[in-house]
Amino acid sequence: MDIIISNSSNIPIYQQIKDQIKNKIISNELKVGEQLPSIRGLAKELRISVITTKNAYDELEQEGYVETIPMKGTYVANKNVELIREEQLQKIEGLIDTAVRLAKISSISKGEVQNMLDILYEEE
Amino acid sequence: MNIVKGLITKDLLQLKSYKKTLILYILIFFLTSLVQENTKDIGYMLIVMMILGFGMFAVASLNYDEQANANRYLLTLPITKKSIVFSKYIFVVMSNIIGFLFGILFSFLIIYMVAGKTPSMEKFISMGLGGLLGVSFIEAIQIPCIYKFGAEKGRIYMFIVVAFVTLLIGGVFFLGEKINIGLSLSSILSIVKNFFPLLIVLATTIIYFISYKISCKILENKDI
Amino acid sequence: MENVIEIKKLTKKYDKFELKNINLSLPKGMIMGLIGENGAGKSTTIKAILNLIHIDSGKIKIFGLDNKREEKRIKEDIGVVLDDSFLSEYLNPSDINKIMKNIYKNWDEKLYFKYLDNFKLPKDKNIKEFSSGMKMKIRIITALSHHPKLLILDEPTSGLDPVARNEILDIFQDFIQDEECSILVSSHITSDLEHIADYITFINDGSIVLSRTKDELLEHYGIVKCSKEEFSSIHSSDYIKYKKNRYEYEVLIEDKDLFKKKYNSKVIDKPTIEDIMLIYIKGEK
Repeated sequence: MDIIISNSSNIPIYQQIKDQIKNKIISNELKVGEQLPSIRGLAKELRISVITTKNAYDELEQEGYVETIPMKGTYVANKNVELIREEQLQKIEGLIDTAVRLAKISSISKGEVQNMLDILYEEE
Repeated sequence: MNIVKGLITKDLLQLKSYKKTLILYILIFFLTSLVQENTKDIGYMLIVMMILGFGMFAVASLNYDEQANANRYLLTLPITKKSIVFSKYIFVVMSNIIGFLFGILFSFLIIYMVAGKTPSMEKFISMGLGGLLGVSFIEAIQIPCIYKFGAEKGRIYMFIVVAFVTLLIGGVFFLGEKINIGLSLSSILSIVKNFFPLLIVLATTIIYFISYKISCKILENKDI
Repeated sequence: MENVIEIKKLTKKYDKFELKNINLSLPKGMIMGLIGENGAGKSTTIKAILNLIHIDSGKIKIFGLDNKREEKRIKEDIGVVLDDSFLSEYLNPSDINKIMKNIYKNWDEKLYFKYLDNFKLPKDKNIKEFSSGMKMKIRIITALSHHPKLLILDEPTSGLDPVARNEILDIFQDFIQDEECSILVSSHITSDLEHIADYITFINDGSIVLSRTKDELLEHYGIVKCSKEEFSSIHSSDYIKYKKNRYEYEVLIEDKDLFKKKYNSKVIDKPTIEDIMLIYIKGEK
């Protein structure tokens, strides 16, 4: 499993792992029922601490993306991918809504906001 | 017991480079005694030299330990301070006995085969045991000194203690002879002659026992 | 969570140095980095854990057992690497095997030779002829070959090149693949450890300054860089220590988010362990 960690990023490492695994689940790169690397195995692979990996897995489990079967391992949970996408879209819409409202108040044009969006998207 | 075996194995193995020195030492004495005129007397001396050589060999293992600061590491293993000291004394005593046996073998070879004389058994034993007592005496002082002060400083303290004890014993004999209470060197020697072998073995054992107890105490109280 | 090492109120006084009221616990399955300057008390703490020194007061438990009373039992299950002490360098790796199999009940000869092969260490060459990386590897391998449950290492990576350091971190992480196994490792250089340690315990001048999970530390602590005027507006209970540089103040704070709200400040840097260590040692309050 390809996960790329940046130590210099301002995003905490557990968050980076969580986001990337989430992304892989949503994009169906990780399929339902597929086994994730063990916490300790992934920690070694990424040269990070066990606690960091465990935090990422714990949060993924809380949000229902994965499930852990004791003594066996962690698997991609049977969560409706469409539903997840829907949830994410709603969240994004909400955030953009805030941005648009702020732009209107400050009379910033649609083009400028779009430009900003393009730049931000490329950066990521 | 396995621990003691392990520690003695360590002593033997870490002295493997020193072994060459020891063999060279033996060879030099062996060869020089061959070319001497009074080969027979030298032959008897050889016993003492062998004991001394093996004794030095044993004490050298303490220097190797110190060089590597090995005791601290050994104590992180399931080894007690007591077993460290105990195994060291076993190693030293074993070396002495091996030196003694080698010494008798070599001097027998020299006297009988080379000089062509019949060796006197009595002289063998008395030379050998005398040498054993002397070397044991030095070692019994040296080992606790090394544990207490380290190999470098320990050597200095050892000389001081040896000198002091020698003077003390000499002084007692001197006084004994002066005030004539029968404690003269000749009277002691006559006693020694009768009980010689037994006395030496007993004296050596006592010396080592006291020394062992002191070494244990020193190490026990030391922050390693 | 079960603690593998538990130190309570440890004190030890020397002429010029003292360990003051050391409390420390290492949960099972975790790696703890014991960091601090040279002479801060890392080695003394490790020596106390191993019962190599007589402590003045305090209690030390390993695997839940008293470190003095159950010393032998404990030591069967730990592997130790000290920075200034090992077997004589006139021994070779084969010799070490012959010695150790008498000493540890669980000594695994096969595993030992497998490690030697893996790390390309010659069996019959005296340690004296090894490079410093190889010397450290033979020490670590020797500490691992009796299937210990706890590794205690004093400065295992100092003086090694990055390649060797990397290999050693690999060994550590392989070791803790088993959840029963834990590591306490001391170091005065933090950069390597920072990546793999679960807990960071920072010891300074004989006292433990902080001991918590690394993630908490890195997420909550922050460094505020500000001018003299800005600094004077910060209440002294809101920061840990500060360091005055030529043009700016570096202020170490314990809770980034709280600080952000209270002072409405924007520039809070994410510190490295080393940054935190430096301000603690060199900074003022």
